[in-house]
Amino acid sequence: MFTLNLVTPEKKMVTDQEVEEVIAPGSEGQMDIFPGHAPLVGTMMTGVLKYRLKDSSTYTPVVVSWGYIAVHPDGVSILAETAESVEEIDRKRAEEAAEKARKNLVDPYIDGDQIEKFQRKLNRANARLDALNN
Amino acid sequence: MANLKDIRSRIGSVKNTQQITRAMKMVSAAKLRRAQNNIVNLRPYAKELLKVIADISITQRVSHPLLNPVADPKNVLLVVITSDRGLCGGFNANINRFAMNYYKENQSKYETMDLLCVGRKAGEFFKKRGVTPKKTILNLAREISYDLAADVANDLMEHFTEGHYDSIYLIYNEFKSAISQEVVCERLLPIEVKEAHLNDEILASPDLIFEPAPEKIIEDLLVKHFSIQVYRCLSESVAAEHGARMAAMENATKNAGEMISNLTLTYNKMRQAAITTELIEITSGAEALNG
Repeated sequence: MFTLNLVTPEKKMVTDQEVEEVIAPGSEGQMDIFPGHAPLVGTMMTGVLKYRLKDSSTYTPVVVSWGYIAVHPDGVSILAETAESVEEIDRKRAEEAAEKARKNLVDPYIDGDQIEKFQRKLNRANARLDALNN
Repeated sequence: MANLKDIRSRIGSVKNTQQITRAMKMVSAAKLRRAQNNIVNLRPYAKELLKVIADISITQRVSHPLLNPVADPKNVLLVVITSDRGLCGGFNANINRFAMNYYKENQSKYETMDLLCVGRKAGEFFKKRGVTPKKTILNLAREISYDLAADVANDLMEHFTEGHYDSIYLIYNEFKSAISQEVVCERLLPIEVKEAHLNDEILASPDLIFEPAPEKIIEDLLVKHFSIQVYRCLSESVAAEHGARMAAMENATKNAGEMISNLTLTYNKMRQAAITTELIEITSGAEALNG
């Protein structure tokens, strides 16, 4: 048994699902986790998390922002700050948000905090669009 | 003694009030359910996060400024959470009284003790008593979301890391059940971890991979933990507020009902008395004519 648990402050997204593969956007780079992976604790950045259920060949994408990931011998548990399934994403809104963030980022008068904020927004919007395009 | 017309209009106005209180009660009940769900959903996340922090910080012996309790705190920030609106029984009064007492008792212990009020009720209360809050945050509880709470948390965190305050305490109403809430005072920063949380076997494994380094993970986790704590306290307070309002409105509806039945009784008595007097007048008038 290799299971996936994904919890956010607002809901339990995935509970004890038996999976064969989990691809997570680790903060040091993408991680591809199969059963038998060495124990690991780490953090994730904004991006698309994908998992494949046992005996299935399709990946289910989930857009996550910052998260903590722990790989145990018997599964993966993830605490994500936010998580959205593809059905919850509004393509138009994501496109608009990406556009707006991009425009704000080229403004020469913004300060460091704001750059960070818009960069975060852009990353999030891009992750959403990535999930939709896959 | 009031006349019949006065009583009739009085009954009408009490009925109107009753309708309003009944509607408010139902609205609060619905909002309470939502707020309660929020808290229930949040708990597993918050619990897991604290567990992980404790596990890593203890097994890896990581220390962090947010974790180290200051031996002798000098500058303290007191965060008081109330609601923006009234009509919720003793909800705001309880918290304000507690906060005021706490403030007076502990003021002399520290060099500075500042107040940060969440909700209009606390802000007004303290201003009236000559204690000007450092800042009052309004309209937070209406549509409570994690993002909003995270913004507040970031603000508080900045005060702490920049050294303005070395302890942050939070006073709020904890949600016990739909009809009871309790005023609690919690230390938000520095964060306290207890050894008792330790129960993760993977951290004992010799070939455990950290990605990134444990210090960085702890740093991230602590920041998130803090935002979650703020979010949790705000959610608790919102749920408690709706609970308190529901109970208060329930009582008000009941009292209005009682008042209506009393007034109706008086009204009928007076009406009957008036009829009797009139009849007596008519019969005695007829008697006089006959006589």
